[in-house]
Amino acid sequence: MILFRSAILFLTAFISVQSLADPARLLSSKAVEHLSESDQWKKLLFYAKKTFNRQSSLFDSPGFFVSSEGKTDPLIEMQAMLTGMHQDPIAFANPELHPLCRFPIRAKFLIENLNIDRTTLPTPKCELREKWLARNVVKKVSLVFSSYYTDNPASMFGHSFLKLRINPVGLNGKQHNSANELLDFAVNYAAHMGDVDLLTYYWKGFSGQFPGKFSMEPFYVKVQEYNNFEQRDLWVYDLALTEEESVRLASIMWEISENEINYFYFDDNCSALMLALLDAAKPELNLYNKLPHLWIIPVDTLKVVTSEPGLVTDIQYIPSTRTKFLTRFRQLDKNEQQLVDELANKNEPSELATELKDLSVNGKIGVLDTLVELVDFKEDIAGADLGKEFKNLRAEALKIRSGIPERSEKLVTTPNDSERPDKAHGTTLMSLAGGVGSEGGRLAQLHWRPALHGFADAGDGYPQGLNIGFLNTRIAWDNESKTYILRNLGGIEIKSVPTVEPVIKKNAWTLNVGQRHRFDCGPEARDMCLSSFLNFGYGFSNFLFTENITGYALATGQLSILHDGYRLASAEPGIMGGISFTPKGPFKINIEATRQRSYGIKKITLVSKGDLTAMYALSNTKTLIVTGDYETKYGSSIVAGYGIYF
Amino acid sequence: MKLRRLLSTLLLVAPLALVLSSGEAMAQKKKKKKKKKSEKTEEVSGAEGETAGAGYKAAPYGMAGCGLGSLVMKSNTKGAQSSAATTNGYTYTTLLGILSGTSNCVDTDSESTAAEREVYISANLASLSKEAAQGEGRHLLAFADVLGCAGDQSYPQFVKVSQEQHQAIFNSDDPQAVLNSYIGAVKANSQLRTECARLGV
Repeated sequence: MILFRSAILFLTAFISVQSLADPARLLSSKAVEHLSESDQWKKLLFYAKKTFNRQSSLFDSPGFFVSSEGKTDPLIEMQAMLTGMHQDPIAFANPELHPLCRFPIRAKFLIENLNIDRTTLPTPKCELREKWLARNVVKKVSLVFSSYYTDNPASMFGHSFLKLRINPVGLNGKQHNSANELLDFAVNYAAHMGDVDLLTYYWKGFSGQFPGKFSMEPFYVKVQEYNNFEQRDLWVYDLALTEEESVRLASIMWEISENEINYFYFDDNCSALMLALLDAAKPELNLYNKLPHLWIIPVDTLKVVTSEPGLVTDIQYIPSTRTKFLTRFRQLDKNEQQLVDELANKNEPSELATELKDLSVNGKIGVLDTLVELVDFKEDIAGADLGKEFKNLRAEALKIRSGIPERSEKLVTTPNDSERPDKAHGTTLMSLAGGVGSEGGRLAQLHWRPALHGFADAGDGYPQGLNIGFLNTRIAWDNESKTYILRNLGGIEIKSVPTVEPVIKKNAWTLNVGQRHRFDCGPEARDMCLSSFLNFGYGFSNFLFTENITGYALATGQLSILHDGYRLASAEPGIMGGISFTPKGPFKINIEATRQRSYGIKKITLVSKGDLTAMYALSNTKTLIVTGDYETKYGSSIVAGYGIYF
Repeated sequence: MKLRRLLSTLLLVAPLALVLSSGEAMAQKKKKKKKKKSEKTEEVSGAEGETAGAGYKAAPYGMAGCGLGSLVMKSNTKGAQSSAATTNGYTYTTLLGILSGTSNCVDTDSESTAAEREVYISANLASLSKEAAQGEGRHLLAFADVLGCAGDQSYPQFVKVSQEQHQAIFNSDDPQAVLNSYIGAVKANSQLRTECARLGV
């Protein structure tokens, strides 16, 4: 393969030398044709292979190409670029629009690979570009993952972006050369939607009608946004890009500038684009093509990046306010913990000093620092917002704190290696199981969940108390009655059950949409029909107060459309309760029961339902799984089997 | 490609839209609280931002906006409400909008460092007030870097001044006012006055 490539390169060089004298001949030469099919050229144009192997660029803005056919034809684009490079800058009203100014990396690539004599090229003044690149000398590149937060559905699948350490060359050398990560820059790709209603938002998001753009902003803005406002921990994966590749990345960003990529929720999303950007900057990488094809979840990109040998040099963790509060809280003794709780509940700034007077200096520091962190967490304090309800308490606490000259100890929140999001189980679960049906007959079950995580799945790398199912589908074959039972056809299911968190009481909630078979569709037992449902619930969790067992109870509501004779559609209020046993280690179990009254058009029925899921993780790719189901008028069934994550 | 997208879209969009919109509604509710506050100020800032960026706005490529300039405007006018600086109030629409500590809109070093100071304090006021009182934290040290008080010999002194002068520095909700007091406190310290290279005039 390498030999073949060298041969082509040699040939390319030979032919191009021959054609130098005549740009017109160069355009139609075999060298150009070959080079236009090279991986490197396509990476610079962000080409991706899609269905039926058709290739096209991810970019949709015409401004990203010299030719109007550049999106789909790499050869025509290369020819147009070559022609453009030779054009007299005078032809451009604004010389900065000359292809040599606009696309410096593509120009360099062509000059080097086609042995173009630089003296034959015009020399447009690219002042803006030079200024920008001089101020954006990239020294270090990292991929940042903003993790999930149970209470924030928008963060369901996580988010990722690049972080660049930039050492700007100052106008008079006075720029900071800070090694402080906060002063780095974030490169983010996101949809820009403007003002639309929610339905339009999702329709357009899923069908790729929003323009997606790159933006660059100080990393501290992202830290405020994710760590402090949305309570999401950040994971920073430092990447091994050489100095040359880092600088190249800046030039590629210059080439991208304002050009847009239509945002597809499923694949051309933030995380995928970051990999395409890295591929373009570091020639030997081919990360984008290693991503799953149907849809891409940010964790998938982390897995791809970390599985590339030598690419990740270091991993850091930046805790959210929530994590910081919990860490500080756990460092206090019981009395101090109680005091923090009381002080926050009382919220009396004027009494704060008196309440603290009996504590030692270290006790005061611990209580005050924890109290402020608690307030910041409760109010999602970020940016220049100094709080509302607790504003005065916070100010008073800081006043007293600043009067104690001792410095607080550096807060260390180092999670276990196993909690790294890239170490989490694969995003898709598929399992086969066999067991016994309600009438004693054999039962086989196929389970397919393309994303993401349930209570009983091996917890590391995903937050505890979060259940996100996407297209979660469970089909059973009952050999006794010779019927198949659709246990679930997702839709989406979200269940947020906050685990034990001292002082903070967050509510549990759930939301499910999908289809499934029901057994109460007629007067007889096992009168089966298909139903579509929207199910929601709200309640509380965390009442058992132990680390590994979470109990939850919710009031639920459900709207169903049934293909039965007498209800057709029904409203179904009910109650749901569950217990998750999730100790550290491979074994986890979740049991859940629901009882609801079904107010149909003609008929009212009472339905009880129960589920049990127990899993024993063999690794982060394999698991043993036991599922039990009970339902009124069906009875119970249980299956055991083997599942794989990928 | 189209077919796949159409299929996946049709399959998923209906139930998902329902679920997600209610889910998102919860998230939005939370965000709306903050957004409301900043609505008025943002209008003003938008206009100012555009003026500041007018020099490059006309160019139909890369440097289309003068991001840092407008960020400064927004942060200033927003004052205490600039929590939105962190998320929703801002739409960073252009890659080249916010530049690395320097902006296209400002051409002198003093202007760009001034902008950097203002943006930093507007986006980090709450964290800074906390860490200054505690005498520890990366936001505090990053601010020392922004003011040019970098290096092992300056940090301890900067931290000490921040903690001791906390009440005098953080006596306002307005980031700009805090910045002025902060610089005042740093300049009043004989060691830092000479060591901090980016305090401005």
